[in-house]
Amino acid sequence: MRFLKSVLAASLAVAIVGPAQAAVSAQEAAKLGTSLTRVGAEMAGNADGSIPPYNGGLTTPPASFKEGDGIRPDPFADEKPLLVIDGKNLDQYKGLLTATTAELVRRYPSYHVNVYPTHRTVIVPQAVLDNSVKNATGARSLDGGVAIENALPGVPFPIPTSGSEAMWNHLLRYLGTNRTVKYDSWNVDAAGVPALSTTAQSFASYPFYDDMSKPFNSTDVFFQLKVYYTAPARRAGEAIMLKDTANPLAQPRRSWQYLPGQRRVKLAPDLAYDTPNPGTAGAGTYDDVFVFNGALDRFDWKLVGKQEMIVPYNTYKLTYARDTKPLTTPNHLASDYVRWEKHRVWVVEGTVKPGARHIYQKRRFYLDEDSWVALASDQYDSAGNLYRGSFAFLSQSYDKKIPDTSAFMIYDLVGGSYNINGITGPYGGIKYGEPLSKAQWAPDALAGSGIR
Amino acid sequence: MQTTTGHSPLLRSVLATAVSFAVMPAVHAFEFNNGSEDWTARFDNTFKTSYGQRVEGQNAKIANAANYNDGDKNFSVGSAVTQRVDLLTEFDVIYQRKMGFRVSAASWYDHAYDDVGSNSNPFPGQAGNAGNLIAARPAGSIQPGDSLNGNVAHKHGLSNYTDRYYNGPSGEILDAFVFYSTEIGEESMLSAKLGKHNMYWGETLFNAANGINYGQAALDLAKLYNVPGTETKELFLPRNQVSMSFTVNPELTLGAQYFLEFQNSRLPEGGTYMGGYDMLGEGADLFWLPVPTLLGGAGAFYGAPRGHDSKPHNAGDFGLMVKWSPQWLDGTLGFYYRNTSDTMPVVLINAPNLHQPGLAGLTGTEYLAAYADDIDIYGISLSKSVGPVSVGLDLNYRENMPLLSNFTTINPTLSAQADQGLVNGANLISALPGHGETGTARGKTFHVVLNGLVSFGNTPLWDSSALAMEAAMTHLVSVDKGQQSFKGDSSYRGVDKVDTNAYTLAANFTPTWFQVFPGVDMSMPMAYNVGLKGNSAVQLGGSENAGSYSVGISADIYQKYKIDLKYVDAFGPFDTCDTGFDNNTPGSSGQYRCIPGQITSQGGLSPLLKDRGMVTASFKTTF
Repeated sequence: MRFLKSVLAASLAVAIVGPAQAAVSAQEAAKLGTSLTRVGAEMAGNADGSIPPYNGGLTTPPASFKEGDGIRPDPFADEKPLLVIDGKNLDQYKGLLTATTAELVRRYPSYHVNVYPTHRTVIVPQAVLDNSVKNATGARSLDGGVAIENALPGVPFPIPTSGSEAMWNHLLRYLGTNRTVKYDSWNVDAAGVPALSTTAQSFASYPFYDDMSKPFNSTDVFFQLKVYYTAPARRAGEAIMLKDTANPLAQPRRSWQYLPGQRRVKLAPDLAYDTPNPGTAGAGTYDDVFVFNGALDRFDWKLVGKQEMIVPYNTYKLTYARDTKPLTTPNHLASDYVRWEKHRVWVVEGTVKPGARHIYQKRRFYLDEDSWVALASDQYDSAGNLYRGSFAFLSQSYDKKIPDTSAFMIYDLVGGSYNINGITGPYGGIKYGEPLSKAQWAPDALAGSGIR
Repeated sequence: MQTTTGHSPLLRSVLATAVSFAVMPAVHAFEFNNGSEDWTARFDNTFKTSYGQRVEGQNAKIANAANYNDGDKNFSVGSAVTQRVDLLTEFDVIYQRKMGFRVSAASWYDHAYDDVGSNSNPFPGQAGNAGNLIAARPAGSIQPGDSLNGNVAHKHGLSNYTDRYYNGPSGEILDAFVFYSTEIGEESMLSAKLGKHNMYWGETLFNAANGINYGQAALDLAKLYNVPGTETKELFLPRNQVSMSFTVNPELTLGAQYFLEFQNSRLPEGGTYMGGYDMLGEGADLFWLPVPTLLGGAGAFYGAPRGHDSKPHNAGDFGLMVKWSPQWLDGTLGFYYRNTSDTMPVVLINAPNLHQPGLAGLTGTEYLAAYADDIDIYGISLSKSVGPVSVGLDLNYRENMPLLSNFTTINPTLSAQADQGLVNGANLISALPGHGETGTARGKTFHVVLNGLVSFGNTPLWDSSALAMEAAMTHLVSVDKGQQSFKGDSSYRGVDKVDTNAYTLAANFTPTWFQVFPGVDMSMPMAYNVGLKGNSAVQLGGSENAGSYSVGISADIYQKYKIDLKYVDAFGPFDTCDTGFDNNTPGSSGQYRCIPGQITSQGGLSPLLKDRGMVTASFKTTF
């Protein structure tokens, strides 16, 4: 066994050897906490004041919030849109919109973009901030950016020097250490008919953040998820568990499926990259989930730069909507449920590497400067045409110093359908309770506790 | 970039009508919770309606085989072989995600079985034909099926058992158990279940006969063959047991189960469309015993009635399991020991007077099914990702395993004579075996099952696809007893003669196309299984060149309604008696006498169903 272990260790070592990208200089890193926030966002507001300076995020719940509740009332519910972008004024603002947003405005008269005052609400715990500062000079990317080393739990590259480093910041983004939600996923087909794809109870945890003093190992589990399906009725009793490491090339995702009727657990085949996600009725791929997840190796990543964009933000109304019916309107999500704000985003463009295979020839990501969450993306097909577009709906859990993006969606602009996932409002919202015990994360425990 | 949908208005309205019809039932799934989230209850119903039609003509040899032809005769080409409605009802009550109970029940009705029978069947399997002696072949003015002892033939109707399960309306409880689960410390968890339920071990997907799971649950093979779209969860018949699972830590899980009930697998019953063997199933009442010497060599059949089956004691089967997922392995190893009964029957013919010459030898003859117990299974499983493939491996070694055996006759006199070398002793035993014994062949076997699951993404041909493949091997280590009945014995000449090694392959491939019409995902499930080489030493373990396949199209509408259209057929070799002296096995005379035209041996069930090609359509929804 020791022999096998050392063989495995040696092969892993071989796999991650490669030219390491140097971290930024100490001088550069000194900006963190001064002109830049500790996670690397610009401290100052913008020239015309439409983006305010960063002032520590939102940590005061509105008076209507009940302590311990999973539903977070909209602290900005009284605000009125500053601007509504529709077909009539699109040309004036399209430089501030993602290609998908502009296309939706162009295509559907019923679609419009309600732009509200900008609030930089994101804040993460102090230990995450401290580690991010340390990472600026300590963490390194390897193998052309597909792997990283020596990163502490936090933002690995607060001052990114490449597109892949920015994508790593998204992949390792802080969303709390554990989260329990029951959610819906809906598909709306080209004829405008909504169909419930999934209702499930999910338990998520991020063991990556268990020990804030330990640099992560590439095979450590970063994120694990356990999902019990409750609807549609035919899926009730199914369950899955998955574990993602921080580096999917060193240790690909492992997932297990609980088989009802046999009460046993089977290892599921690797579902990644551009394999269509059946939960979206083919509207999205597995790596489209959460706007992007998975390995970076099939694309060349270019850091286009930072720019001001109008993106979904502080989407409390949508994230905590109690009724999904008015949301899932034909062709597009109900416009009045989505709050848009102007924020600075990092634009990162991925182009398929020569010889690699992916149905998206090019994909362009828009990463929030304050949270590193990929708020939106545009996906292009092999002919260079806009194919799909994704959005993540960010709202700060103001009682916990945790940004949330439970809700996310994808439009298939060719098929005319869309999927919205992670709607938790009908089931009591988002809870950060006690983490599950370690036993609950053993795949075989799924079989022991399986009912159907 | 215009949205194109390309659906026809006609199809759309047909679909809409089908859907609105389906929505009508008033009872809906409900999930109840009392606000404090302590209690949850679920009540779900899965409704399925299916239609199947025979599209393949009768194989003359199967149609003429006395003990294998009832299903073939009862359903002619073009006739409906199933017109069935099924309802699966599930009710779960859970308290604090820790304890509760579950009850599920199946109910059904099949109009195609309202009146089953065939006037043209010379060898009908109805119970009323017991004691009848009939001509096997024309002899002068005597036609096959004509009674030689003045009895009247019964050609219509099913046994009570068969009628209940195939015609209905009827139902049965599937799951009925209580469960409890508790965390112990930070790393451990204990779960237990008591009552009728399944607990299935190992990694096998298709080839249950070669897996570690062998005998762990009785299989509803009848439903598998007859009801299109049967889900795996309905295939395993829940069995009374207490089962426990103890997760010591995330790397180590222990499991144990102790059975309180024996249950045999359900074979497709005689007289039903997919019933290959007329005499073998639980509901079968009659075995036509060949008497080749009668009618001047034309041959006759004697209708032996069903006696009392011999089943193992209810309690006693048990199993122990360890599952270990060490970090260095990046996979899961399983170690198993099980002591189990066999869910598959052995046919014994109790003929106390057979040593007497002529017809007197047939008096008092009856037949029965016997089930073996006390099989020891030692197994190791491995589950691991290899690239994008999820690989599963089952290895198991069995002692006291029932080996493929011929129909065996119980007669103390002949058996004693055989012991003295006076008569041929093939397939002869001296006494009715006790519970859990069969008197037939047993020995040591070794089994390997290797499977892989993989998904493929978008190609010009499909949006996505899933492939499951499984290869299995049976290796015969030794024959330890009952050699006289063993189908690998040197005296045995059947097409299913056991080989030391036998290999099988099964594959399922399903390409999927999303949103072919708005709200409709289509797929094309294809399934194929075949015995590659050799005949397995164990039942259902694989027969060379025998297997089955299906190809279909499936529409999933609004992820709620499922419509399946499928073609199903089987294939495989059988041997037919040609000269009258080319049977598969010798009689006590030492001669290989048989009745010309009759099937003498076959490579498992599939060859007997090779003329049953059918098209099935089904509609299913859960509400």
